[in-house]
Amino acid sequence: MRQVVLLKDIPDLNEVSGLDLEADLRQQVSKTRINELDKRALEAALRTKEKNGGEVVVLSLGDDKTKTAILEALAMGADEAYIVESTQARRLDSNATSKVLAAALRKLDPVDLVLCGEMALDSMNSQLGPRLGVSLGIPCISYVKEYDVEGGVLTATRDLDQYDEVVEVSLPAVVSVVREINEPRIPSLMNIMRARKKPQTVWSIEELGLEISNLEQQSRVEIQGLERPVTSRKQVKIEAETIEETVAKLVEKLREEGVI
Amino acid sequence: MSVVVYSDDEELRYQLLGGALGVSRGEGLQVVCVTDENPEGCLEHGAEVVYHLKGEAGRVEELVGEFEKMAQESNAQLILVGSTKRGKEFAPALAERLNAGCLTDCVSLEVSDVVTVQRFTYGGSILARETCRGSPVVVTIPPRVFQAVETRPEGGRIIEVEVGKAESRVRLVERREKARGGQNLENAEIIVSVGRGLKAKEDLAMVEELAEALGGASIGCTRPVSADLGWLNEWVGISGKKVSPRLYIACGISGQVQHLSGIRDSKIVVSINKDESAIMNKSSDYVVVGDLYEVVPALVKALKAA
Repeated sequence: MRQVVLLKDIPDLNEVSGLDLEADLRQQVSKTRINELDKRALEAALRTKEKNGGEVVVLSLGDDKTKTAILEALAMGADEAYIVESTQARRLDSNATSKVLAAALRKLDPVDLVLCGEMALDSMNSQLGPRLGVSLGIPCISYVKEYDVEGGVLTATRDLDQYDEVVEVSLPAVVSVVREINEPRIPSLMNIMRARKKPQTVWSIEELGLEISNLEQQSRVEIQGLERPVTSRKQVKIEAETIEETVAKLVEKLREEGVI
Repeated sequence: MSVVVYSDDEELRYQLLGGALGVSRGEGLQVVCVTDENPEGCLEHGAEVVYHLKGEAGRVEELVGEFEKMAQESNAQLILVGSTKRGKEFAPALAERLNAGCLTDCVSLEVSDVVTVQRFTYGGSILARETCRGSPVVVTIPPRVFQAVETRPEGGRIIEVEVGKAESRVRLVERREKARGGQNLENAEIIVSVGRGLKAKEDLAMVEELAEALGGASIGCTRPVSADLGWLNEWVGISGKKVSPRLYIACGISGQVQHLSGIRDSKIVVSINKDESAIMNKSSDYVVVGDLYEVVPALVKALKAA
C-alpha cells in the first residue's frame, strides 16, 4: 500500500504577529514548519503503515525553506520526500496548486491513498482535498476524524456540522483530516539524525510536464493586501456592592443592547 | 448572466440570496438558486429562477455534475455557496470542475470586473483582501455575512430537475447525531461558553441552567475543555467552530488568540472571570470580575426573576 501525504510548510503563527504586513511574510521568517493538520495526516498514514505495511511518501510544492521543514516528516517516519520546487510556488492559488500536485501524484502512481490536512492555517483555503479528488477522478472524503483501511477499503468517520457520517470507499481515494484524528508523534533524536539520509527528490514544474506561465494564467486569486483586524469591544466592567446587584446590572445592559 | 446560490442550510441559503440581490443590482445579474428543498422559500427570498433538485442525490460529488450544467445554462458569473462543511467540500470540487478560482469563508464581497473579498488568514489573526478574476468565481460565505430579504420577484419560476442516482464509489454506512455539545454552534443566537475556569464536568449542569434561563442558548467551550478533557464535543475557536451569536457569554475563559478569533463576529461578548487581567476581558463588551461559581447561579436567578 502506497500512501502519499501532502505537506505544506508555513510560518509559525506565533511569529506572524511581529511581521511587516506590507512585505512577503514567508520571506521574513527564518524557517517554516509543517502545517499542523498536515502533520496529523502524516501521523495517520504512519499508523496505517504500521498496521498494513507499504510505504509513506510525502509530497510538497515549495522552495528552499520547504526542504528543511520536510525533514521533520522524514524524522517522524516518512520513507521518502518529493518536493516540487518553484520560487513561484506560494504565489499560485488553489486552482493552480492542485494542477501541480495532481501532476506530481500521477508521476508517483500507483498511489492508494492521498492524505492532507483539512486546512492550511496560513491561507486557510481548505480547497486542496476536494480539488484533487476531482482532478484525479477519485473520491475525496473530507473532515475525517477516524479511519481504518482493510482489504483495499477505507472506512472513515467524517465530522460534519450536526452529525458524524461513516462512509466506505474502495481505494484509491483522497482523505482530508481534522485535528481530532490523532496526536502526531515527536521524533526521537536518532530519527532526526536519520532523516537527512532518507531520499529527497526535487522536481521542477517543467519535469511534471507543466509550464509556469500556463499555471500563472490558471492562478486567478491574488492577495491585494493584509491587515490586522481590530476588535473594538466596549470593555465595560460591571460593578456593584453585591453579586445580586452586579448581575442585575448586567441583565439590564444586555436588555439595552437588545440581545436578550 | 447570473449569480447562482447554493447552500444545504436553509437559513444561510436565504442570507446568500440577500447577498446575491445586493450584488445583482449593480451588475444586472439574474439571481438563481439551486436547492433540494423548499423552492418556494427561495422565490420568496429573491430568487428569479430556482432549480429544484429532486431525486436521490445526496453526496456532493453527485451534485457537482448537475451543478456544472446549471451554472453553464444560466451563464453564472458568480457562484455563492454557504460555508457549511458540505458547502466547503462542494465549492472547491465545483471550482476544480469549472477550472475556476474559489474564495472560501469570505466576510465581505464586492463584484465589479473582478470579485473582491475579505477573508481571515493565518489562524484568524490577519484579514486578507483578495481578488479573483475569470468567470465564474466560486465564493463560500459563512452565516450572517448577509441578511435575508423577503422579496418575491415578478415572474420568478421553478425548474424541476430530476437527479438520478450517480455511480458513486462512496457508500454511506451510517449517520450519527452528535452527542451533547454537537449542536449547531455556528448558527446559535446565544452561546454560553466555558473554559478551564470550570472545575469539573458535573458543573456543566450549572452552565446548562444558564443556557436554559436565556431561552435555550447553545453551550460552547474552549479547545482544552473539549479536545483535552472531552467534556463537550465541539469547541469554539479557529480550529473548532467559528461562531457569530448576538450574545456570547464566556465563563472562566482566559482568552487565547485561537479562541478569540472564533468569536470575533459575535455582537455582544460578556466575560465572567475571577482574574481581572484575563485577556478575555479586553475582548469583551461587559466584564464581571468574580467567581463563575457565584456569578452564574446569581445570573440564572436574575434572569428567571425577570
